[in-house]
Amino acid sequence: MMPEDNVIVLILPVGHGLEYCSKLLERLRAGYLLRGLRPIFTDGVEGSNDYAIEFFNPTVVYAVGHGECCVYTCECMTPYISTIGSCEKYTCSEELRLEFFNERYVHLLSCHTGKLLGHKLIEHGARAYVGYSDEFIYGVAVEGFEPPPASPPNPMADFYSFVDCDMEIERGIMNGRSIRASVESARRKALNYIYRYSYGDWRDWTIAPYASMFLEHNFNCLTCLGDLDWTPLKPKLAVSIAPRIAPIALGLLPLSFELFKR
Amino acid sequence: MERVRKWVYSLPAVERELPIIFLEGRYWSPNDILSFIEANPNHPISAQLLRMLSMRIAAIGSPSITEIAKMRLLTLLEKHPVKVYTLGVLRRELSPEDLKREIMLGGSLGRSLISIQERRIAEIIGRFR
Repeated sequence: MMPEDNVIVLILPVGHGLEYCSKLLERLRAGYLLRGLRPIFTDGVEGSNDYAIEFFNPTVVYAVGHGECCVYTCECMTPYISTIGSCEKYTCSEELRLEFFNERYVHLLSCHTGKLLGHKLIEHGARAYVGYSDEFIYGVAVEGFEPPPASPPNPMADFYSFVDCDMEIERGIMNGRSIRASVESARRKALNYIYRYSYGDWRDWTIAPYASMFLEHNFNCLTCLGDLDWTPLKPKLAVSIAPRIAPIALGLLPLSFELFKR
Repeated sequence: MERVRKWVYSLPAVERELPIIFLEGRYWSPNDILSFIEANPNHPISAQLLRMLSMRIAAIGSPSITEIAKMRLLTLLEKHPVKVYTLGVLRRELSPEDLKREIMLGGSLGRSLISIQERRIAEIIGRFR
């Protein structure tokens, strides 16, 4: 059975530090609704995820969780999608839900799944996969400093820009762009942040050299597989987006970032 | 000397403390270079440092730029230790010691950070006009 058009399931566990990602992803809700799309949010528990995917039959599954090369885990670090395989330190001996994502676009915001699990999902019928083939860094903080989830970057900690760059892919997709075009716009967003941390208004922050380095690292290990020219969502209501960056000389420099920031 | 001062002040504060050049058996940060040249304008090492900056060379012979990149990361972690949070199953938090180990032992994250730093060295030296 083909997935339902314009249905998105977002799997948002909160345990084990994941609230730092999930609280940000919740902010996509208004954007989806404004465009006439149907987002379904789960609390990341295994049963809720199964129910949401089986009952609502989404085209897009966007999931946050901890991962290794052969496993994606949901709430309470419960293995949710896995394939048989092993890497340096982790071995997985059972297959879980690989067929569940037939003809869907799966975006796993987790570490390492791009090495093996993403390929297996495509082999088992997923139409496209986006994830990371190395460690995805979602936060950096001066020791002893822990900001509340979803707070904006500050000189001592950033738990925002990394996930914001990943979310930019979904913002593109909710605007009816292809996966390839959406990834490109996320790349521009990452470059914008890197510029701010390297030469812009955040350059003297204590975490600046780390944040720019980890943003680059995350983007270097972004892995996109399957039909990347596919446009998974067809928004019913076009919402124009103001350009947030403009190309200038040696790269992409930010223009009035504060004005256009979401 | 004005060129060196202009270059150093164009860099982010933290970057000014990190090694960028290896010469005469030691690592030099932009701050080290500036203070040495200011104190010893006619010293042969000052001339050599200026030559390396102008020619955009970080090291002659050994150690390689990779070693300078490693030293930058270790210095950064020593001076401004941070904790890093990841979405891995096995490692969810990395302390400054974990990061140092990763860099020294050449884990995949360590290798990635070193190669980013190698590009950063070239970029910073390239800003010297």
